[in-house]
Amino acid sequence: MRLTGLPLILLATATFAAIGAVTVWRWSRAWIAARVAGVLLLEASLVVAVGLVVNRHEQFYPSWAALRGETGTVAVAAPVAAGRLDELTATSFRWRPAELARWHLAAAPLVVLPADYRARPGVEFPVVLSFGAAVPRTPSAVTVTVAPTARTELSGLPAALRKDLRVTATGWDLVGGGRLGDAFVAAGIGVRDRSPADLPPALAAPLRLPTR
Amino acid sequence: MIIGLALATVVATAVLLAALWGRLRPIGRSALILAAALSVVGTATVQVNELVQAYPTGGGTPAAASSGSLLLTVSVPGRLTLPMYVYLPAAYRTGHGRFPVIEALHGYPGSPQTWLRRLHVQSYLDTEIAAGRMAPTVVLFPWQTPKRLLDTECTNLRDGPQAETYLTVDVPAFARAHYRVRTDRAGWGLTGYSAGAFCATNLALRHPGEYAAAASLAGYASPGITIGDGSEKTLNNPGWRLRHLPQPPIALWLGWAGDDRHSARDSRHLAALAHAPLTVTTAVVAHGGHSDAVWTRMEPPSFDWLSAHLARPT
Repeated sequence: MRLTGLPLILLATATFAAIGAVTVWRWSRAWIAARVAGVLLLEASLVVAVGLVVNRHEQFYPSWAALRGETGTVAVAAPVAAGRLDELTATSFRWRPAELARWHLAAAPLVVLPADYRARPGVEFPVVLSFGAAVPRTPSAVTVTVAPTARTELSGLPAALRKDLRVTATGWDLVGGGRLGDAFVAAGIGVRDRSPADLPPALAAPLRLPTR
Repeated sequence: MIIGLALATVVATAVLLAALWGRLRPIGRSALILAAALSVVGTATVQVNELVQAYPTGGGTPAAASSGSLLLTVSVPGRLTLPMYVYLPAAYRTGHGRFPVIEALHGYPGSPQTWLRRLHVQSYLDTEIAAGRMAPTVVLFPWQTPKRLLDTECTNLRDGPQAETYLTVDVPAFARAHYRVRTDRAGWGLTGYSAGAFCATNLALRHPGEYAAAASLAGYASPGITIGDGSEKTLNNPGWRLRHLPQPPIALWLGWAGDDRHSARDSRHLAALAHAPLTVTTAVVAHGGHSDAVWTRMEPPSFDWLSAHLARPT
């Protein structure tokens, strides 16, 4: 029987009426203890009936499982996968992923890892992506400097970088870059030209719930 | 404690009713029946209050946790002068920099104590921060109404409390003046459950210059109250705002339980309306209704998400 269904409410109401009838009918002949029990049962059944009606209306607990506090869902943290370049010992290097040729850059991007990159293997770092002058090494952020040409097209760069290094999917800082930078902003990957102090923190994999 | 007293009254009136019935005149019998009915209503009210914490009683407020975090009770002056709880992470005491801030809003009926007692927020924050899934963050738990049973939905009620101004001007000004917190929008976020979730969404959409991100734990697309100027249908209605106004560059986390029909419908509606530069992340708990169980399930993921969408501690 459903918690919010009419049958249960009818049953509760009938129970209340029945207890009321028996209590009144037997009242003058009953022992005191039976009278007390009758009154308490009557009150309890009334509270249950009213509670069921309110709950049906407001849908606080739509099911017995909800009433028991069950949600049928656990938040899970997908572990941060090690980047394919995590074994490298260099903290500054030219990045040559398989996709490099498709991007039509003047040179391979320059990657600089933060000082704590190796010490925090379970953590993803936000990215400072510069489309011109090399940016200084940034605490708790991976800096990537690209040299665009007129033909440069960088779709796929975030995904490629996430395969090779432990970087976040969003929260990047985009330095310069004109329309190339705009495309990253429009894709929700980051914001333009903010101070490195305003970057999001480097964090362990978040607990997540299903998205639908 | 109080519930025990209330139950004792219920039993006592029942015993008196049973024992004295034969010796009483109609007036006495009526009085006893009335007393019994009042004791039942009172007990039910006490129990509901225990659930929602609209009138928190006894127990005090937990202060220092073994994790090193602190929970302070302060009074915030302004359009309204109300108490507020302030969570300071363990790192606050040892650090010297400024921390990001989250304003956490309560439901209706409810109070900041609902976050502390029913949703165990201090323990969840300690855990997420210690696990490195959340940066050390200062979290504020303000009251949203001067009258416990006046539902403001965090708006400026016409001829009533100016809750919106209090929450978006006075509370931030107090926090900036008294604590080492970030002062820029990038470091400020909102969260809330139920009516507080509506508040978080609505205030973030209305004040994108003050807040960068907001999490809605079982919220709504409209306030469901009358504000007095009709704005519940327009400027204080997130559904209307998303349809008719340019969307601001903020990030929203919308969580709901699959069987919480009203909140699920409204949250899906908001998610469907959102477009760049507004971004929306959705999170669905399979079932659990509109209850503490759902909100506690949403707390760690929503705090992790908020932290990832706010500026870091400096």
